Amino acid sequence: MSSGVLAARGVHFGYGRNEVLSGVDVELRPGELVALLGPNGSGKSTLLRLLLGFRTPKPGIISLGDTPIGSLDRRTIAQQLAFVGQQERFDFDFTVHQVVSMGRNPHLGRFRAMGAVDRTSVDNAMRRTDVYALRTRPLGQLSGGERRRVLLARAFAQQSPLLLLDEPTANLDPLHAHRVLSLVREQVNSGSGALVALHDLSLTLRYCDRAIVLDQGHVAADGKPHDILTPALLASVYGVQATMFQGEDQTPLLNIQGPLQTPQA
Amino acid sequence: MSEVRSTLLMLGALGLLFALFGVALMIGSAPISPNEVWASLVAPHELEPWKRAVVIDIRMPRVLLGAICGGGLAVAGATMQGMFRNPLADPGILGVSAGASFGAVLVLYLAPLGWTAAGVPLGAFVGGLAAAFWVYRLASERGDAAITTLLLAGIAVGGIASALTSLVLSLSLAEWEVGRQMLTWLMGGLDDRGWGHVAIATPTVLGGAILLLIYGRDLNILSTGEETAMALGVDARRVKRELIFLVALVTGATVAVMGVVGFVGLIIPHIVRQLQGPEHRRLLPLSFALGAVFLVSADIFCRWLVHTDLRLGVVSALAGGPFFLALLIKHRRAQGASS
Repeated sequence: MSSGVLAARGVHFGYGRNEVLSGVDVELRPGELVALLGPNGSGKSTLLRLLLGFRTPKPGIISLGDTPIGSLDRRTIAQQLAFVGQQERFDFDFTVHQVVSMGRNPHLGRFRAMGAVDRTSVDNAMRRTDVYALRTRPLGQLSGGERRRVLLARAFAQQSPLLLLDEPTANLDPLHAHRVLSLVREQVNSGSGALVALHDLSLTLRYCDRAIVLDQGHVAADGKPHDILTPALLASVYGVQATMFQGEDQTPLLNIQGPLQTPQA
Repeated sequence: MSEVRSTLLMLGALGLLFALFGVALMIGSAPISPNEVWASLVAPHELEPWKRAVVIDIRMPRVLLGAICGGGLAVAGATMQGMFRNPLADPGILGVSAGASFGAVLVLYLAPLGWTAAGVPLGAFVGGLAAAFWVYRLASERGDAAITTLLLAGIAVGGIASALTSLVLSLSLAEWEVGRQMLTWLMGGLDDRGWGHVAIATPTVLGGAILLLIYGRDLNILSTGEETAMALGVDARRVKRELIFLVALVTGATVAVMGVVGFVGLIIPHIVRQLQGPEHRRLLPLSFALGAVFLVSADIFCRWLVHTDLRLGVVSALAGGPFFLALLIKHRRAQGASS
């Protein structure tokens, strides 16, 4: 199977009668870092789950390369797509090394032990995310930022060309949020594609090549972040009043003043 | 480092198990010396026939059955704890033990006396599998069973089966002998078990437990969440279905050959996790070995007090409960000290 484009075409999905996505088209290619934006409840997490094949759109098509994702088995999908969820919970005290090693599962059978290639891949992933020194520690003893980097290391060890992350910076302080996104950026620079659900628009402007904005189950905008994140779009999608200006190093900056002031009748 | 540790633990547990085998073959109402036990294994014809019969036909199947069932329950418990991501899960969580108990007492109630020797294990086995199947059907939707729904369905079906067991018991109390048989059976035990029981337990309990060992890596990943597992290439739906079937097979067959013996499946995986961490590829085999050690020891203890009517299920819970509490307190102190 060619490692290709992950695409959603005309995707609808609902929980019961409540339609969450209505006619969504998105694409993710290797070599690009794409932000998935939108207010709470706009369908970001649902779209990620459909793209991963956890759920089936009705109607609509999710395809990986030339193949509908529903006709691929989980191992084949995992060799192409890595995922880090929003709130992964660990009920047992696995060590950092054990968790990162789980990333090799799609490349191992039930009976094959980790070989030299697998071990190198795990070590490299831990070094790049700066968790190598923590490798014998149980995950429960780590801080939120360290834990997020461990999960990122697990996804890197998976060595799949595409990466889907659901709010990887949630609950992180600014330093750790930047560290997470710059790690994703490095991974993309080395050829992967990444789709990252985010709430932080300034991180989007700084790190992402493209942004897809979801609003009430539709794609409200899809393009270069500084082209599409206009005050008008932010007003209609998020209901906030914002102004955009140029920072010192020519990066666009957003200033969000607050909720939109509706004219008094 | 940790691999060396778990290899040593495994070797230690196996060594202990073999030592206990020797002890278990020696003790009982007719004491047999270590030399005679050894002779019965390597040169049975040099031994007096009655001693040979005691060792080979009475004690050996009993010890083997205890080891197989103790190991099987511990592996089934470790599997359920991993799958439910809950250290309080036990092999009976899917209603299997309760269903098997009902099947057994129903046979004792309905079948003529001569039929019970074969009928009770069969009834228990069918009852256990039926309960698990019912739980799975209740909880599944479009080929997938949600973990929380499985848990609730297991509690509900288990509750219904327990109530039905009590109903049959209360109906049979008028007949003293039948009621006594039921109660004795429900408390679990290895007395009067022969090679026939070992022949039932080997393919089902031992075979099922060995198959469960294959799922170590899947369980590691499944215990970190179903979506994560799917993203890491584990077909969570299929694996859950297969694990449920194997656990029902192991637990149902265990109850069929020795009645209900609690606590083994709950505490042994706990102890192993504290000794060497949650890695299931090492957790499952070591649980089997220690589960076998635990049940063979409990049975030796029962036979020491052979003139009382002490049942294996009672000893298991009485020994396991306080030990478990001690572990919890120690663990809490350790946590308090580190934080």
